Amino acid sequence: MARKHTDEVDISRRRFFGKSARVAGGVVAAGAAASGVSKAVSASSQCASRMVAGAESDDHRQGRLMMQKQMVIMSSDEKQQMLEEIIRHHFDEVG
Amino acid sequence: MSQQCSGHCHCGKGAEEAESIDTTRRDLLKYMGVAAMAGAMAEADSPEAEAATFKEWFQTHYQLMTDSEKKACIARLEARYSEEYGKHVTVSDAPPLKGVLFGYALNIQKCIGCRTCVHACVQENNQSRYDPEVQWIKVLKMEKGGDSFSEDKREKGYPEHSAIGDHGVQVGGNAYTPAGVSLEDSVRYYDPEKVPEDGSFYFPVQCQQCEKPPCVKTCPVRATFREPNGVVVIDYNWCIGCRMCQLACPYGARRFNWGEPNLPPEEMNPKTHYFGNRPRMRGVMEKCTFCLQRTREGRMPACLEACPVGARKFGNLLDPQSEIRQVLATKRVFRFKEEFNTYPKFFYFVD
Repeated sequence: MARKHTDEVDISRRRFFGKSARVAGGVVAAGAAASGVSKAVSASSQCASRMVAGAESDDHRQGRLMMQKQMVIMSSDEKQQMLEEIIRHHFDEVG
Repeated sequence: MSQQCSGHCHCGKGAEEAESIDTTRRDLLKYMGVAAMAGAMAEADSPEAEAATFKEWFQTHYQLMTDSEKKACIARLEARYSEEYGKHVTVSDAPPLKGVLFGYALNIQKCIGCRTCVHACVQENNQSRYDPEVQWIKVLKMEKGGDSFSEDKREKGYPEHSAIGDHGVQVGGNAYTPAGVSLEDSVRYYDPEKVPEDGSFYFPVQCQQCEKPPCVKTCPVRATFREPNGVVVIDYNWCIGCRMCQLACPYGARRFNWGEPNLPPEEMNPKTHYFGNRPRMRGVMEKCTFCLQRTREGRMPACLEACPVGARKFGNLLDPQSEIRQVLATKRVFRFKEEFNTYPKFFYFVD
């Protein structure tokens, strides 16, 4: 009889611990989620600012690509350099 | 109810059937082989012609031939072409001139887009006239203004702003319109009443004879190579038609003979060169060679001679007094797709 009573107590105690653990877990999880959300929000705002910066650099990059695709008139130095490279390579090949 | 033998049992019926199928298949293949041989024999006019075809098919790379082999090869080709086109055809194998590095310059300010150069090239270099129509020079017609990049569209096409920023890939705007000179989006075949058309400018493109040619690097059999005068040529008999060079060329300058070339005998230019304008066969690549059959004799390329406005200049880059060097020294010069670092020896300039 006494043993049965102890068992009941044990069971109720276990239930109590189980419930409190669940509650504690819930609280911890909620906290973690909240901090995660706040982190995500801050990350997304950082990401947004990075995206804006990226878009600006995209603009520049696109502009630069455009310049490359358009016919770029060679400077005298570039012409000289190109000619020297062609002739040097030619003699390498012939040699 | 009797079941039919599926051939998997051991009754022998299936094996018999399989054997009969095999026999028929073998017979079919045999007949096909015999028919093919008979066809080939019938096609060959004589044992000599048959031997010549055999020799041509199994000849080695021209650069690796001995002098006697080269002579025999040239004689064989001359005989075949003369018979095929009903006129005396010569095939030269004149070597490149020494101390020469050819360069070409084109004044796009002067070009009126008449395409006379294209037709002169076709005529000179024995290109297929129709089905497939092969042209080594492309004259690109483009809208004046130089490019289709629009400042108005610059900000369009980006994702809309939202509370958490701009995400996604850029679409629309100028993303789908080509900028600058585009080989893909320009009009190549046009036939206006008069040239130049209002609001258009013309940009002729042909083999740029790159000093560092990507086509040569990709050829798995070295059928295409750079000659000592800087011109990239093709041994048509050695080409396996894999089209790697066509993929590698950033200028789209190489043409592939998808079909047997159609060259009317009366239009055939009988003065040919082994690496130049001799008639090609189906399944090989071809491209501009700066008319090597002419330039090796000190003449100018056909496109240059035909240009009615004198937009084209040609000469020796090693000679500081040559016209091409004068153009490079005094004109505003640019190269097409210079970012590929192929060092084209074909220059564009404006006055």
